[in-house]
Amino acid sequence: MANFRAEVFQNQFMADGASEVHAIMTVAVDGAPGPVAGIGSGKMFGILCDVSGSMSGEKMHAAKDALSKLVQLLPEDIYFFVVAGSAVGQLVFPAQLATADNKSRAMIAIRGMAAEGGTVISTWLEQALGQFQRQQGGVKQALLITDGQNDETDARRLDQMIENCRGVFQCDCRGVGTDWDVPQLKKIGTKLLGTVDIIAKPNEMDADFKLILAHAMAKSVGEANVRLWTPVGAKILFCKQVSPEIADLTQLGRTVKQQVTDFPTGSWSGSESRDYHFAIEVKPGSVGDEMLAGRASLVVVESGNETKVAEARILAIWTDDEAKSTRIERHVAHYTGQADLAQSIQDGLEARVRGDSDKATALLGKAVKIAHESGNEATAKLLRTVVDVDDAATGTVRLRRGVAKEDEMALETRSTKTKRVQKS
Amino acid sequence: MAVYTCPKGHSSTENDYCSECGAKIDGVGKSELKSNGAISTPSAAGGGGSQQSCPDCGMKREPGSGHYCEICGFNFKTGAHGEIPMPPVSTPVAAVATPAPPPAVVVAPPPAPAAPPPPAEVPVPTPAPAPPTTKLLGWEVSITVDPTLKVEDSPDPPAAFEPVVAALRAGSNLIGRSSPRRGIHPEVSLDQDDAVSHRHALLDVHGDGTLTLRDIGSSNGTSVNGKEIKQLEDIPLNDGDQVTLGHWTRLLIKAVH
Repeated sequence: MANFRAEVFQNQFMADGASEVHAIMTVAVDGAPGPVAGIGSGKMFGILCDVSGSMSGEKMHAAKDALSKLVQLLPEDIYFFVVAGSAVGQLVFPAQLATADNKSRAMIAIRGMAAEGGTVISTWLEQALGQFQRQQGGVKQALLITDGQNDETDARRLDQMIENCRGVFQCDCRGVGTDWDVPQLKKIGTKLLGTVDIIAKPNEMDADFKLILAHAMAKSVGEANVRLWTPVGAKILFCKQVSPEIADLTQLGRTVKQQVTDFPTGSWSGSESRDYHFAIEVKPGSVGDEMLAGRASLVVVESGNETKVAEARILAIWTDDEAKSTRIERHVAHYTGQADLAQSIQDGLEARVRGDSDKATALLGKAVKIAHESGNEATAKLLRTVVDVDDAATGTVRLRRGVAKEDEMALETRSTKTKRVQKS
Repeated sequence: MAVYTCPKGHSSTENDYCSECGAKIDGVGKSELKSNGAISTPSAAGGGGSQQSCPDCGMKREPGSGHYCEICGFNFKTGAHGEIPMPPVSTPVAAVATPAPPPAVVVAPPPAPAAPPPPAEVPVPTPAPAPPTTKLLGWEVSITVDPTLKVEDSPDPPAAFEPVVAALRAGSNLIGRSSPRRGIHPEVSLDQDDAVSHRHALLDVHGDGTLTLRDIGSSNGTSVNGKEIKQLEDIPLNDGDQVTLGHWTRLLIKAVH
């Protein structure tokens, strides 16, 4: 199996009576891409494509075209299926091995998809769930493509269905055009541990799908959890993935046993690195006390068997030396800043939509400043599509007029992408 | 699976930090572990064996130390814990547990009284008055600073030390100085007096309600009513007895009825 390493960055020194411990854990995996975790199981790739009425025309053509190419690229040893989604999820091609024959049949099914009807995403997920449940273990990745908003009457059922799918498969979500709802897809993507992005122009689908597939095929560990042990009486304030993208995992935590909580991280490729931010509230100590505030590990799950592949310790040492206790560790500071950046963008865009220009200017200006200071050039560039920057260092900006909807949505969607902390 | 014991008395499945409370498990325990193999809870049948380890703190039982663990005061005979596990902290105990300012910060010595004030006159804040009854409910210790006990080499006592009352809630109550690093959290905490040993003495409340004092090998000794006591010997205490120790610490023993 691939080789995992975990490392914790924190300022373990706490002021007398302080109780909140912050730490960044970096988990890196490298080495030769090993066999897929899970006995007798491979990978399953599911395509969920919106075929509601709004997709008709150029979008439907582009989607069919891109999906056909995607199917052709599938490695022959994986299973795949296709769901056509409208007011009902229709399994147009059930899960089968990606042999040349099956690929041809799937492409015929894709060509036959017609755009009509509404958008009830819960039914699409339900079909996908049924297919993914046929396989034990392995890597299970879905790609959900939609161009519109989910039917309002489906809100509760969708929430329930997302819960049912959690832990069974992962789902990347792509919004085509600008009529879809960012928070809605973000919710699906976050809970099902997938990425969310905008495909503004139908002709961009092709390239994006290839990336998604390549990413999914690089996975060599089907399922892993971040496991956090905390002392009796301690409380986990939050657990967030902070790199490559911010994803709050706190609500996804599952209590394994007393003092031990698992946070799902989905599948891992043979070579990647992710950072996690933990905040733990412990009983306040007094000067001289030293305690373990957390034991964080990465646990790989293979056919129900758990293997701890990396572990790191989060400490708390109380001191009366203020020079030590007031220092904020570099990694913690950086990712706290990146979280602040994402939040400022969300709130700033919201204020802008409400017509509160002063607030929007202040928040987006703050975002520009943080992006500038932390070297998050990708986000800085997206911000410049929404504001004119007079001085990035002070965050002096002016709201732009006539911002393209797709630019605004791209910023909203990608605001959670973080810049990795610089090597010192 | 090996079981390690943390300074607060939990059984830990980890050897570095307690798997329950996260407290650091002392290096002492670890080196013990290496030479002795896994530390396990000594069986009751192993009493008196020279290789016996204290189930509370993991230290080897010293021959000739009587029924008590030299380090934490665990009673091998009765199984009563020494200063661990920590009792739930309640108000009077909390007052004691708070480290007093170290003597070093004292600027001027307090005005020396012409005559040593009779201990009875030392104002003692008492908890809420108990309903009058003759039944013995428990014991309290009033911690006072008596500058007249000072010997030549002693530092000046803290100028304004307010007497503190500690209720003896545990069966075995440690008198000593706190050392969070070593996991020492005495019930009767005399942090203001650095001539008190970290593990100085034990106040044991017995099943019949009687109270005894044992000096558990302190460096500077302990006196009861002005008379130095022998180490490692239980001395019965009565209401009104005075225990002096350290530079200038005077403990007033009070029976609560």
